[in-house]
Amino acid sequence: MLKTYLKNVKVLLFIFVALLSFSNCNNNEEQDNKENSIDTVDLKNPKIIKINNRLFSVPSPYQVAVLVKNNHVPYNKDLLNPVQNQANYATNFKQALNLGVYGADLSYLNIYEQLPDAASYFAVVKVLSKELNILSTLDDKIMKRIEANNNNKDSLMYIMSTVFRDADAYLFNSGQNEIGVLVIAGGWIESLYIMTKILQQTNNNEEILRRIGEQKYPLDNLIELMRPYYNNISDEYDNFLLQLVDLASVFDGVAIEYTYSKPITDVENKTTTITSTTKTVINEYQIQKITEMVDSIRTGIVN
Amino acid sequence: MKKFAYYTIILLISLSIQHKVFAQADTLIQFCAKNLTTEYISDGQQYIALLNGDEIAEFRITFYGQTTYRIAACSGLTQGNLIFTVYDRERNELFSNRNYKNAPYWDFKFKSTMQCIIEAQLDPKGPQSGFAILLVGFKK
Repeated sequence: MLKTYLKNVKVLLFIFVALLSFSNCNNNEEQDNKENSIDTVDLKNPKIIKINNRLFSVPSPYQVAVLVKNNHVPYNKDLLNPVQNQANYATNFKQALNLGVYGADLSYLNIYEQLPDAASYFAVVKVLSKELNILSTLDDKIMKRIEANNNNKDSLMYIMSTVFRDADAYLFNSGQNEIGVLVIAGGWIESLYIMTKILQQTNNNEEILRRIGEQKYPLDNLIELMRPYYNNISDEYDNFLLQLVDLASVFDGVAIEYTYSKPITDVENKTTTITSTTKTVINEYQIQKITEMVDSIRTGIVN
Repeated sequence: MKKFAYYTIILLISLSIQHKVFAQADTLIQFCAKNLTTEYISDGQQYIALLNGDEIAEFRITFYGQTTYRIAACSGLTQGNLIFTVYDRERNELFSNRNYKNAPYWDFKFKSTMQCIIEAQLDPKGPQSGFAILLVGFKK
């Protein structure tokens, strides 16, 4: 009996090693046979991937930072999550959310060209990435690129956005999609928090007010991204999602009127101008409620 | 014991396939990212779906007004295997790269902030299965 068992194990090990070797061999040949290797894989179990499809998008925090700067709002470091708080984040849940928060803060610092502060925020991003085991996306090669571009805010932002996309891809590929979703959620909340604070500073700047109202759909998208993991991760995850659902119920009252208009395409420049328009209507009560709720959710994340 | 061996073999084969599938997705993302040049800042996310035959992947995205975006679309390591179509929230078709030789990327200027739906499907003339990868960047 034992002999048969050992024999079976040996056979299995041989098959496994052979399969891995075959797989690696293909990888080595990839440069020559890239098209074929991608297209001819016999994917007998597509559900592995399809279950985790990421079909909802949340806008980048960088875009919010650009909007704030374009409205001539002065730089205010007090809006950001202090780097010292990073030491308090012991769980993956908190680390992932705050990686998103610090990423959004880094966008803000970058837009305002606060490069010395950006360096300390970059350091906490690195620490949190390490704690979440996604440091490979911040490998030496990228560190050297960042150091070489540390006086060029545009290059830095390009590199950082790529790092966050690679981290997202890494988390997806390693079956940690929920961590990637939390990073996105943290970044979105921090951006909205900054906008609500700036709205107060600017005495209800119309463009920022409108941009806050426009978060209605990104919030719906964020909830859809998070929903598959409800009841599967932890109580704090579920509570956080429920807070977002409460926030969405306030956003539901925000009216977004849409008028379709035929787009104009410039084939030569591969550009289509979308001429349809939207009008966002948000009232004082809604903005006050949103500000309070975002403040409360953000406090729960960073403390 | 035979059952044990059978299930273990199935498990190991599945693991091996999964390992390879993910490695390919990574390669494809890097390939697709070449169309998001340094002028465009990534939105920090990657949109990926494994498609078979005429399956369609759909995702929803908010584009901000007064902003130019680039959508890059790939399937396989040959340009033009993926058809992507952009709709508004009322399902009016705003753009489809199928009208432009399955262009692997296209730029969009948005006058107003809009929630859009993007559908991606494999070109029927190409491979019958593969990853659909979409990347979104906005102009600095």
